[in-house]
Amino acid sequence: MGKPMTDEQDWELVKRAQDGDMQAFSRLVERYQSAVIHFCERMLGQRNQGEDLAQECFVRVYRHLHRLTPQARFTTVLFGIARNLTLNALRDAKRRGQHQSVSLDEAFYLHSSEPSPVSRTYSSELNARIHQALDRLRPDHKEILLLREFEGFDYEELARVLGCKKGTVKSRLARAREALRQELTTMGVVPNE
Amino acid sequence: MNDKDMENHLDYETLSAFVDNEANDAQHIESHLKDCASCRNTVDTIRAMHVALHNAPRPETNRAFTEKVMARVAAEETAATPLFGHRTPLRRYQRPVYALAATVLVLIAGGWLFQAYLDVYSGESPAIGPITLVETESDPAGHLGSDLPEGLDASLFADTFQTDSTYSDVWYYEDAYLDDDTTLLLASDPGGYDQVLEYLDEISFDELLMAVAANIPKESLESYEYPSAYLAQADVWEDLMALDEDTLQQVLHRLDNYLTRG
Repeated sequence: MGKPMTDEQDWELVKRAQDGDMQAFSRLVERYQSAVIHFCERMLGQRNQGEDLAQECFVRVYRHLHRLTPQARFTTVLFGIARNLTLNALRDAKRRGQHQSVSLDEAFYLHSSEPSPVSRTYSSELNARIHQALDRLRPDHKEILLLREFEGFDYEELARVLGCKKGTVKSRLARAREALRQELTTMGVVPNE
Repeated sequence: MNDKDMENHLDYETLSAFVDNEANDAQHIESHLKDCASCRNTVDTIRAMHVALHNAPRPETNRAFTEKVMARVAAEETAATPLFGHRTPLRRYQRPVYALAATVLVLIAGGWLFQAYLDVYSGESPAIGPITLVETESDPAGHLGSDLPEGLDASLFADTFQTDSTYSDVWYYEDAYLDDDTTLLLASDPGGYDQVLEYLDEISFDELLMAVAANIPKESLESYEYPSAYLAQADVWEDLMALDEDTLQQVLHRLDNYLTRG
């Protein structure tokens, strides 16, 4: 199966950037900034710091530009770096005793603090509160869900980014989903199974 | 749902993989789902969570963000050039020699640095095996081109990552913080140090010290308890790892003093 068109375009931009075309690198930043900022913010649970880290991620890509070759999807390289930066930041924060478990969405859901009635038709409530539940998960669960559900990485790509075997992806993803469902159940958003 | 279905619910992992089109026996699962409301319900919930996450709004593309990144990149381009002056490519026959020498230095330095880390963050013993002399290519993880070369001692990785991990974290961890991953980083990419080695004799210790310090944004240091740990995170590995053991010890010691002064 051929690589997606967008990936070919990504690598074309990388190649041009390697040749010194700053405009090409700028286009890569534009193309992926939203996804990377989103990933970093969700991993950290903090908006401003997430954007700072996303900046750092692109700078790191630039630093390693000369070593990039199109062996995999460009986004697996990009999010591999984003992932390590966020994990390092979380560990640094923990080391400094500044780890926050505050949900990014708590500030945006001031009016939804009452638990919802358990209902079979839970989709609108689910849409509204799923990030609140996501923010409560462990980093390894959060990252795999973000990469799978938002970025659409398949199992092989997840294995590449997370540095594990495909079988591990399968089991870790299932555990992450189960943890997310449990959070949503605790919040009264989805019914107990 | 009949009794047989109740006894044979599919596990969550199987259903999760089914939703992702990654299940081994999709036909069997589909057939089961027709008769099992409980498993169907589980699949529905997984799909609903997927839809909810996938459709969530993302930050809008922001020109200011791009400009900030490009400004930083441009600043690094300017700052990076004078560190070791003009670089002349090595002659072809010199490369293997320098690469091997770099590998040895890197591993020796890595051993010392790891011990230094233990001294600084005492209390936790390392869960990592002895360092083995290996010569790797620039991307042993295979992310960027080459496969893990034969002979790379897997025991280096055994306790650092999960036991079922492969080596693909290595490249990404190159910039990682000073932790028990340190020795991995050092073994991961000795290629490229040759040019640094070439200039080792040409720069003084103080020049190197200042060059390294100048590469670190002051504001980045404020929150770091140990600046040398930050150095490990910053892109100064190549400069530091090219030093011999004694000099490296001096550099880190003096950097910690220098950087914590202000």
